[in-house]
Amino acid sequence: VNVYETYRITLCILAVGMAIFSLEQVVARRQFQPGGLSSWDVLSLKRPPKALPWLNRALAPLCDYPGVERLLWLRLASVALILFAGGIPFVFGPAIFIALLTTSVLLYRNSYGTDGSDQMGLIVLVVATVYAGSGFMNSVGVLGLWFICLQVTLAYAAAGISKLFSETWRGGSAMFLIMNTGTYGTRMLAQCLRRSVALQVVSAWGVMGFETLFPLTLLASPPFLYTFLVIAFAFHLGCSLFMGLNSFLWAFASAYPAVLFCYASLH
Amino acid sequence: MRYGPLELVILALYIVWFLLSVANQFQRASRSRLAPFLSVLLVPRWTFFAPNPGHSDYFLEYRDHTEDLFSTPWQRVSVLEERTLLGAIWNPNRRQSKLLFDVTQSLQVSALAMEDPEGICVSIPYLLVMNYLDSLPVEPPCTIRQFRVVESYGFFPYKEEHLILRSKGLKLKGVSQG
Repeated sequence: VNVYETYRITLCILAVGMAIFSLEQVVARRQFQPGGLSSWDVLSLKRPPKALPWLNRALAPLCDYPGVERLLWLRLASVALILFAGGIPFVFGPAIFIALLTTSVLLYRNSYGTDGSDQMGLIVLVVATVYAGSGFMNSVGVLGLWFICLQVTLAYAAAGISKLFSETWRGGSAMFLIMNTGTYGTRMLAQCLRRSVALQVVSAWGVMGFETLFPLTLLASPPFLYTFLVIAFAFHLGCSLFMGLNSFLWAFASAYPAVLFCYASLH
Repeated sequence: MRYGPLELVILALYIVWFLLSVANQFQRASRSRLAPFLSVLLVPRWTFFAPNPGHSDYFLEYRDHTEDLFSTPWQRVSVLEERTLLGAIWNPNRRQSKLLFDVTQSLQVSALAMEDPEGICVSIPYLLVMNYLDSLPVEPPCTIRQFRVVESYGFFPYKEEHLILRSKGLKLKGVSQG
């Protein structure tokens, strides 16, 4: 399996997600404007890291409005290069680096409203930047793919094991409680879950089972691996449809080529 | 595969990063003094609604006063929308609803954690809310705005919604007259 191509596929999946979210933020630019809920006028008051006391002032041209919108367009440009010129290494490398820089500044700026998909996206970008920075050395690329594979495995396993310790999850009511909220749920699904305790238990244990057992994919037979990846993708698709968490679909799916690469290396 | 010095350094960094990531999954590490450093070092904490799933919505509400204490009814700032098929791909509202959720939840955490109740007035989430509300139109002759955060229990409430926090009345400075 070609390391460079694996990174290209990984970053193309991530780039589609990044393009969608950058455009979503451009559309919702009101939040960044001076009276918005994510105004830099207020966010710049947060304490910068001790070692970088000048950071907020230095980033002001990129974080205030309209600087942040320009930053989003710059990220979109880097994403377009990843998608359409990923086959050219001297374009691919700088595009990844710009995507990483713009994403990092946006995440530093937006202290509120970020989630696990941003974390996964940033990890993939850092690892890809290291690979590009090494001059696309195969050995460095392989280390990075293993790291992405282990992070996504840890993500599912940690979430699954943590749920096993929760009475709310073991009893099944967690699914109803989440789906019952306007922020993360859907009225129709909440209604179905409310009517059926069995559905609550089955769905909660289904999520816990899939997440906890995910690490076994690396050791299992190919059908088991593919089944689990399809389940994982369907899980995120369901979260997009019923919970509005569309960014997780792209961020986590971008890690699956690394899982397939590592699986192929192991077997 | 034989590794040179560069690969060994990168391997060591990935191992340390991964071990820190594993450690950060435990509550003790994620709540320790190291937690801020871990987030700066891009050490993730993967929870996915575990162990305690979010089970409520936080709503921001505001009302306006005149100097002689006439007040308008509470108005809810709502960014929640019905889910659609398209929303699985294109959902510009998501970041805003998550932003409002995080800010209002942070207000709740700050309100519980601060010994001095006045301290919350200079916290970032409080200032974000005031800055946002200050930009919304106001009915003349009102000049003072007050907000509150209400915790509500979903489509099929199993508990009464309750008040988390109520701000003092704040004189509006830059409001547009609606």
